[in-house]
Amino acid sequence: MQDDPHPRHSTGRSDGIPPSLQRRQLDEVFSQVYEELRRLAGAVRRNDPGANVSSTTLVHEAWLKLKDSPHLADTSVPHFKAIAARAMRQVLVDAARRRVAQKRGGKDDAIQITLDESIGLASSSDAELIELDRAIDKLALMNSRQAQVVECRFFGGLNVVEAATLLSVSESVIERDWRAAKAWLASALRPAAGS
Amino acid sequence: MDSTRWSRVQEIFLQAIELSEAERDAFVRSACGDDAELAGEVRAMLAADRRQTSLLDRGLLSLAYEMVGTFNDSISSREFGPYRLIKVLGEGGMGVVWLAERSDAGNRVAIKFLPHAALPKQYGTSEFPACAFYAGASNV
Repeated sequence: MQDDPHPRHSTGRSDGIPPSLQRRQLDEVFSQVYEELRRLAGAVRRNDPGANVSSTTLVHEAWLKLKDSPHLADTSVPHFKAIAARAMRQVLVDAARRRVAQKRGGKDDAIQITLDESIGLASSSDAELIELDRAIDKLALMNSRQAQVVECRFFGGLNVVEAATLLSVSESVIERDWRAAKAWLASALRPAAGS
Repeated sequence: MDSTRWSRVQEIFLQAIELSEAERDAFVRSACGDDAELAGEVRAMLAADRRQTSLLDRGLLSLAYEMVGTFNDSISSREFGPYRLIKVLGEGGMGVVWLAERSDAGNRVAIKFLPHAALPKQYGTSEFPACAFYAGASNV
């Protein structure tokens, strides 16, 4: 509910991440993955989103780039993906926060107003993404595995089989978790609609 | 919502989605009894499940593109029709605004390029970036 001061930069919630990795090492892995994903996301080109490329691509590219790094020597692919999912979430939420802050502060000259309000398009997804991030935290309090399922599948691009392996549950559990969690999150983002 | 309550909500939700649309409402009503809040939660979830229009139904890549992607790389040449693109005036969630000059007439305009992620689907496959012209840019 309340603003969270980037708790996922630390590795406080270590679900799905091997305990064999020491905390400091994990922090290093996380920040390495974070930087790589931010770079990759920043390089997404105009035509990619329409090309139906999944987030798997970003995570996979990050893996190819980082797999030989000494920090990742003990990390299996599924665990890498779990870390990458969290890092991806953080990259996007951080970007959304920056963008919101930018809009509120300083640069509200004519250009800025033009960018935000012209030709009747809906506002961008910044606010919705920040809300989603908070709603996932709330979901984690209701059912932590479901929050992980959302994180892995949406932000990490894990498929049902991979998520089931990572979280040690059956595929049907993942499918149910995903559907229920997604519906609840979507309704939490639009509380006034649909009832 | 606490986890016990959440278990109850999703239990009813998961049963309801196995039914046809026509049967769902009656099922929710009977499953929730006089707990109107419970029924409201389940109905909101069913509606969201039907709509499939939240961020989570969108590809992550389009979101990544919108949040941190590079708009400028879409402009491969510095020409846009009769306009020569001079410099980026501003960049934000909804696109990039370029200062441009008409090569023949010499008048300056601002051209805004929109990210595809911000466009309705039917425009998303267009060869060219959508754009809007602002004629009042001569004083920029």
